[in-house]
Amino acid sequence: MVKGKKMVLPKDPRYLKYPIDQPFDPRWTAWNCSRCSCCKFIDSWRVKSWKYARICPQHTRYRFDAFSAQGKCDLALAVIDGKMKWGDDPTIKDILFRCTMCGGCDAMDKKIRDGEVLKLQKWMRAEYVKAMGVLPEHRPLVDSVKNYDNVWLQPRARRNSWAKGMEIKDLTKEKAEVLLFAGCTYGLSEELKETITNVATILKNCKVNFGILGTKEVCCGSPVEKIGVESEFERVAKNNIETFNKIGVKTVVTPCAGCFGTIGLEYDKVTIQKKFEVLHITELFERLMSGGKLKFKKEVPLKVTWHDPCHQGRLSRPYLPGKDIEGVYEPPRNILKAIPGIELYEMERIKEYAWCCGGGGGVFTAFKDFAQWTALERLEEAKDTGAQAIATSCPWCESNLGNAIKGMEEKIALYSLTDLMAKAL
Amino acid sequence: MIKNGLEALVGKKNVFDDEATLDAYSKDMSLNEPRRPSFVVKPKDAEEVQKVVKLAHKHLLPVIPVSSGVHFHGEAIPEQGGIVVDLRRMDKVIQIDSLNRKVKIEPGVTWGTLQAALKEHDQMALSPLFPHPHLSALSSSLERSPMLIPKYEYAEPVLTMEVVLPQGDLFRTGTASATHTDEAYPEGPGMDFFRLFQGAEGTLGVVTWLNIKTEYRPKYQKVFFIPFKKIEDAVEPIYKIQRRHIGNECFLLNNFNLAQLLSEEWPKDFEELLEKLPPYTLTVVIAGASRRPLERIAYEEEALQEIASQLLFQPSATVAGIAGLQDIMVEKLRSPQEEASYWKHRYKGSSQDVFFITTMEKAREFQQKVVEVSGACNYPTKEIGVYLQPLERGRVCHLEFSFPCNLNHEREKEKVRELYQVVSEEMFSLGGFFSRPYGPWADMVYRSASVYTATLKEIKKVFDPHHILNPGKLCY
Amino acid sequence: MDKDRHTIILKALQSAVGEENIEDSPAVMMAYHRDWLPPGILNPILPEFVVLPNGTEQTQKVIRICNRYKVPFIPLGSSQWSITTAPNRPGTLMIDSKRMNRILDIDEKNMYAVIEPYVTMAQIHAEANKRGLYLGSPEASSQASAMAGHVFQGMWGVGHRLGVGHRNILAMEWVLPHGEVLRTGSWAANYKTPFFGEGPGIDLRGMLRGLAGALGGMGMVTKMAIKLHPYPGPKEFPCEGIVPNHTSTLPPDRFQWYIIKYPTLEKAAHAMYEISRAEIGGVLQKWPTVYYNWWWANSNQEYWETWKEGIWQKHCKHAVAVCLWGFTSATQLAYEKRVLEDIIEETGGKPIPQEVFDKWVPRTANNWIRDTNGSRMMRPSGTFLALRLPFDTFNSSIWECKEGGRWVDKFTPPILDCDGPDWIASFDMGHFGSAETDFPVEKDPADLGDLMQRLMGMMKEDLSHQIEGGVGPFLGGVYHSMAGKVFYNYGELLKGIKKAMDPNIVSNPPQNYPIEQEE
Repeated sequence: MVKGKKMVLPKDPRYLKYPIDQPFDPRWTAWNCSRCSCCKFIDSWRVKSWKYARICPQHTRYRFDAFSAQGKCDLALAVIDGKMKWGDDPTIKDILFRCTMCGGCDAMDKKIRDGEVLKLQKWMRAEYVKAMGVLPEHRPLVDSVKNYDNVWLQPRARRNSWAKGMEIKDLTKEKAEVLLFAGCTYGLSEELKETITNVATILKNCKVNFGILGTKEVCCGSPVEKIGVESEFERVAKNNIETFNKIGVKTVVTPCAGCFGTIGLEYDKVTIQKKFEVLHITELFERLMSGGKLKFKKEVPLKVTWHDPCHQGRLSRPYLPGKDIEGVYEPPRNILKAIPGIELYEMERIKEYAWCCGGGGGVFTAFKDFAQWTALERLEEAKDTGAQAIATSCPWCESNLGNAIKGMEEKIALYSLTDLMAKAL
Repeated sequence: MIKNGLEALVGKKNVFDDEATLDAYSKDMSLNEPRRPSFVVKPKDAEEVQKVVKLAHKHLLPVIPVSSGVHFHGEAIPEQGGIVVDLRRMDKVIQIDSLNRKVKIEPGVTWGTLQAALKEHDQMALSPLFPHPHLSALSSSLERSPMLIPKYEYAEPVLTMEVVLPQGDLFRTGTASATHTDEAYPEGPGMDFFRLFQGAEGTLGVVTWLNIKTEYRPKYQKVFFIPFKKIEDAVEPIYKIQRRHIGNECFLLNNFNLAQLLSEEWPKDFEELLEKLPPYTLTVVIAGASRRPLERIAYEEEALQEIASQLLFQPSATVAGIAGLQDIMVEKLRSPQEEASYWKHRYKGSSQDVFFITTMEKAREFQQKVVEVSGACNYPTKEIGVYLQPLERGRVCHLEFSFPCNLNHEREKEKVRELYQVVSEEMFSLGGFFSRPYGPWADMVYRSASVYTATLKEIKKVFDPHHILNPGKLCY
Repeated sequence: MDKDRHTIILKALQSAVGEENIEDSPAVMMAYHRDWLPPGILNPILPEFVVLPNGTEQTQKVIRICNRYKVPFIPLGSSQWSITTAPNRPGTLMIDSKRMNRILDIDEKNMYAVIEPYVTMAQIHAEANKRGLYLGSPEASSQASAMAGHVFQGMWGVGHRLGVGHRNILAMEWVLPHGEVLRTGSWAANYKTPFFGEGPGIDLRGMLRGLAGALGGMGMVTKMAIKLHPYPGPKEFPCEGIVPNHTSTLPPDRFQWYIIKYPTLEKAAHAMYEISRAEIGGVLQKWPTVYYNWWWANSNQEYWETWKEGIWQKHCKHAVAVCLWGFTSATQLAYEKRVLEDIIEETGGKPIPQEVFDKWVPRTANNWIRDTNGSRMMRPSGTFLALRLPFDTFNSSIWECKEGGRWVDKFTPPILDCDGPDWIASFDMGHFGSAETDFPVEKDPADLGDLMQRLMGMMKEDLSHQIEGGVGPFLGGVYHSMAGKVFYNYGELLKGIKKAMDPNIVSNPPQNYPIEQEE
């Protein structure tokens, strides 16, 4: 302190303490970007090789700085300050939407400052959509949610077809402690059906008191939230919170990382309070393991590497400045380690600094080339560990990685964690 | 008229144009053709140097700055006449700064004088290998002579300097250009001028004082001599020793060079030593620092012995049974000889050295080629000196092959000249980097480096548009 | 730029680098228009083009096009922060090095690597560590370009052992402003061997730098061989925990941190002298109090609360930080510990309280070995500024720190509280000390504008007393034009070289000399 003077502090109180409880100010986040480029690389302390040092698929692929959180901060500032309009440049669409919204930039940015660059990017998408309309590539997805309560243009009646013959409680009619929320993709995909049935079977065998919403299950809203259609997101979010509160469950558990991150975190944006906890299925499985209810008997000899889905990881917990970028990192690892015969090989980019699978943010729907490119980067990283298989617990990750594997010459096996568990039971 | 002008500037007794003097300055210890200057002047300070340079500039007379009493590579032989400016009257050790470990010297300070002055302050300069008694420490440092101590990772002993530019203006580099400094840091002002004056053979400026780094002069040390049969056998040990930060001085000499160095009674001792010494001897000096010196020696020795047992070599306190060799070597290293006889000239009066930079694992390849070429030129290979100096912690090395030569014997000179040329070109083809392209090497190097050469010429135009300073050197 | 001219140049550039590697749309240009320094923040200008060449040949083509059409260009490394590399005039072309991101070679035995401009410090660290080797990390942080850290400053945390960045440069491949490709060092005459940096003859690395480098005014280096150094650490940098709370502890038998408090700056500098003369240590720094908090705090609240409590001011003011490295062996580390402890006792130093050491070291100390997370300097107020950046000795650094401190006190506010920002860093085993004065300032255009005026005033005042530095290093050309007349007329030499190398004045004018302004 200077003698004779009071301690001089910043005039703007937001520098003294990040205003986490106040409405988000996009300009503040954009203005305070110092162009450090942390948003483009994984945390330097974690870099283990030249090859796997990048965090941002968009920037790695498209290279120009505009295709990065930093570039988007510059763009946001320009629009907010009236120097540019959303429709001025067709490239803006690519800048905003050729991005998996994986939050890698956000996690790394939080290493060096208080800020929410992912929120800024969501705000930008929402503003763009308000001004320019939904992207034509995303239109079918939005209409599907509006008209069918799912993202796959499937009739509502198909929603519980996976559960046929399983005798699972229907929570629209019965009571249970736990709601198993299947999600659109596990619930409706023929390819991934085995996973959700395995989930339900394990829960039943562990005597968990659970049920499903069946045909009344409505999309969590993750895809529409990511592509900037705020109104539709709010509709489904409110609907779901009201439904879950009404059926009186203590816990909502889902095997889909996207649903988990959305219901667990993004639903906090909606004014209705949740009266339930939200778990990813791996968290519940871990609890069952610790409680002795879930034991693995058979060997599954396999070298496996674990892919952290973004919404199960860094995008699953509320932000508190200075606190860890927490996520569900350990439960799936603990499960893998508990399965006899499995050897866990870690990739270089994991947990809060994991590389995205490429399937999120509307990219899977609108920009398949970019989605596939991102997935191939991840699969290369998986192969470099020496593992025979890559495992994960998100249907979007599984779908996108699975599609990419089909085109590979030297393939790597892909498993949903639940399916591996099922082999061991 | 010019002579009168010079005499007015530096005093009559400091201007020479007699035959004997001009003849003496027309040649050196190399095989380059003698060429005479028109005058030799001996200024006493920078101001006089400036005046001489300005006068030379006015009359478009070349200026050849000379700081040493001996030259080996033709760098001070005037190519186009002109004025040799002999700076040896400027021979003060101006300032010893023990706190910041540097010393400010004038051009005429020899290594012997310098080390003696520094000894009183428990300091030493980073000298090259057993320098000639008349060699200027300033010019040696500017010419980037390889240092004996590779552990100073940051290398580069040159700090700041004062320079008389080719048009006579005074210039200072680094923080010597400003106030409120200790004149220590070399970079700036504006760009790294200090790099342009190094390796320049006096073509961009006349340096009138130079600050160089000094280091603590150890009071305690242990010298280890490690014998090897072949040059390649020494390479892996040196890599490992340097990688683990062991030792101060570290250098490899073959028996020919070492015998020349250690002989007391000549030629009797020399011939005996040549028989007894191993083909190659690596000298490693493990020195104590200023604090707890014996403890430092102990841990470095421990590490050296670990490497020795891994690689199966034997560090000893002597070689060839020479008594007291440790003390002899330390004395030679730290207190450069002042007597008339220079070790490298003992065999035939001069030594024509081919040296370049390479990586150590290539030493064998170079050595074999030298043997092959010398054999083809009928030069006796057992008379070739070999010196390998690890630099920058063993990252690279200065590799040197010496060919003794009697300069009074015309046929021998011709033979050695031819050999020198062939060896140089072969070393260059194999990838040897001639970072100091003296004499005939200049053409060899610069014709293969067209853009570098063109850029140097542009730089020269900026500094010296009339080509006053030492024309004919490097690519000028 | 006139539309026709734009189109002609665009087509030429497309043929040089490929259509997909050039952009001119306003939304993309927006991402290149500013940098960290106030001029770039306060007066942003959009570039005209951004190109991504893939190597020397394409870079040369681009620069030749710039020469033909007299288009000013700015070469970019990682453009982390960017310092004087935001456009200062319309019609500028940015040469973005993102496709030049390869480590071309690592020679483990001879300890060097050959890198392109977009290889980060962290990437080369990681590859070097695997091979028992190491490269210093600058204050600016390790996602910055490793090459940029060599052409500009290069003040590694381990500079006490390894020296400043310019010492680390070996051979280079360098596209000069006029479009010729210069190879330096051992590459000059033989392209196979990049292992040595000096010469041949005169060392043209001299043109590349000065402390702050040519700031893009001397063309673009497209390949650089850099020294790597022996490293007694593990193959993988140890790191525990989750961002931002991760910690790092290097093996204690080979690395040991000490933070020793002294009552005055002079006593701290004296201890640094003793440590240097004893030839011990890997890292030797006297950080200003504010640095302890900048690097440590994980949130704005954490920063300002601990600052208001006075923890750092009380315990870390005039503290000397030393990290001993056991390069040779664990025995060596033990020896250095004994020597350091002798020095601490003799010089009257006191280790900071254990609870402060335990709070700070695991979370922060190894920043200076792997990554300083320099951008955290922006956290508590949005930005920071620097005063002079002199490099000389510890002694002259004391003077600088005091002068700098007086200036900072005088202009507080708008400078924020920072407890005398006196930083002394050791380089070349204490042969050099640098004294940077960094201070937090609120990222408020009014404050920044005001401070810039004052800094310019200070710079003029410095020059009138022949004091080097000021904001000079970060202004480059403008500074050299003024300072060149003060310090032995170096401006004329610099101008001559700039004219020779950049006859069309296209390489980031007015760097590194404002020829057009003068003429």
